[in-house]
Amino acid sequence: MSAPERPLPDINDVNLPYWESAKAHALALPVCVRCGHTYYPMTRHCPRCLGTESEWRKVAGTGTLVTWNVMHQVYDQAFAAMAPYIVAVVQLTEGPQLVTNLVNTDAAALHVGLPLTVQYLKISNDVTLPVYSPSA
Amino acid sequence: MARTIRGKYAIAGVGNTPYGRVPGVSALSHNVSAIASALEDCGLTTADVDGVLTKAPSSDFTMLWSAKVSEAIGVVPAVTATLDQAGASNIGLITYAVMCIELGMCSVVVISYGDNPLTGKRSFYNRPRGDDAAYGLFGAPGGYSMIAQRHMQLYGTKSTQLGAVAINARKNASMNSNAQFQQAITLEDHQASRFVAEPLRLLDCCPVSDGGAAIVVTSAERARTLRRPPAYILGLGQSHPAWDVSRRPEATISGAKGSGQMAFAMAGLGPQDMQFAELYDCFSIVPIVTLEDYGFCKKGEGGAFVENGRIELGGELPLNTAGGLLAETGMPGMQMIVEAVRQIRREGGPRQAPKTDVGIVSGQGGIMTTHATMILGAAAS
Repeated sequence: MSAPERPLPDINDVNLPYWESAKAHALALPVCVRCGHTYYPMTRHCPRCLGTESEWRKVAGTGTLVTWNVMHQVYDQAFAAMAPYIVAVVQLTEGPQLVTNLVNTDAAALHVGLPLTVQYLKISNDVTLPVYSPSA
Repeated sequence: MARTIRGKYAIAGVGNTPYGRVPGVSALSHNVSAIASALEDCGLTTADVDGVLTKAPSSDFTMLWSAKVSEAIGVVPAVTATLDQAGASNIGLITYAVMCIELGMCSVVVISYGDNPLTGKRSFYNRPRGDDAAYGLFGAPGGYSMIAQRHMQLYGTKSTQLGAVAINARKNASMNSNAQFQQAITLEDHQASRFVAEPLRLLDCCPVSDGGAAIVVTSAERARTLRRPPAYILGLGQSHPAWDVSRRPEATISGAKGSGQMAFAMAGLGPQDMQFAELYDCFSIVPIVTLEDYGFCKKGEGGAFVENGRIELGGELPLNTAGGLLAETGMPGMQMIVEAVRQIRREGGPRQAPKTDVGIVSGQGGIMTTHATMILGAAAS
């Protein structure tokens, strides 16, 4: 029997370019045309000026570690084989903070401010997750 | 600065159902039992009630919940509403009760909470966190562990200091015959308990619980004519970080900072005047952050503050005298208000703290997403 499928993000017309950029291994975020704010998550309005026009701009794919946990309890059987696994909050070089997984690292090696670089993890034909690992 | 209502309003009655595993009782029925108990406590009846305020059951969100509770207690209220500030809702509702009485819209308000997530639906408590579920971030422990980790990283807070909060809660609950967990624990028990979301261990997490609790809020004048000594409302505060924990400018600073300042200013008091504290403790890290943000100690010193007996019943600041969420019941907050009133009235029995003329109560919800504060006193001024 195969493991149950990992929960997938809810992809819609507003956030589609983000998930497409991850699939293309060229991560991009929306930048507000009116005030220049780079933001995440993707919404119809810029959360700073409520402007409705944004353009997608490729990001550096780098950031720093804000905090993390190690999930031991299995809430969804899709993660049973992975547990314990690291969930982290990363601040991208462009400013936005987001939730992700850390890969290719050990929890003992982590500290606040650790430089990180994006990696791409394909979990289905439609979805590639941006995950992060310590920068070389 | 908020205008003061210091001493003009009071909690006149408190009541609760059995806590813990209570099978076969609906959330609605828990609300009604708790309200009946609170009215009996102060000698009022449903005929006196003209305000009904509720927090919706966490496990099963329902439209027009306060209207359903009103019908179940046979009251056609002048004022009714359900508030969603998660675990801050109960103190938040006291704010709105006081405002409605002040405006002359009603005179006796019951505020209730009841739920059955332990033996009924509990899916809410394990809910995935939106798109974050793709990364395996689930449940409240997933979020609070992020705050605990950063607190440990920035300030050197230790797991054993989180343990001190849990040990104190269990010790106090061992003197509370209605508590869900009445067995004391040791630091060894705490350190041996499994990780749920590291750095949080099982004994850092509150249980899921059935049960209900309710209070009666009225004017100080009216309260003085009733059966029990009033617990005077000296100060109220709110402040809500609101944003998802992953996007906050600093996750280790909670709404307690702004909410505490507001409540202390209204009461004309400060942390040094508080004789006991009932601080929301869904996870052991929360009272540590709350103590710092209220100004009982500096930011980063909360871990050291809870050590060496300072928060025990005979200590400098008795904390969570009935066991709090960690041990009395995982109910989201109303029990903390009920216990504060009982301490003010000197009804704590074996767990009565030595001095309880003035105390502080906190409520907070989400992942430190909301915060509300109340300062209570045995005297109006």
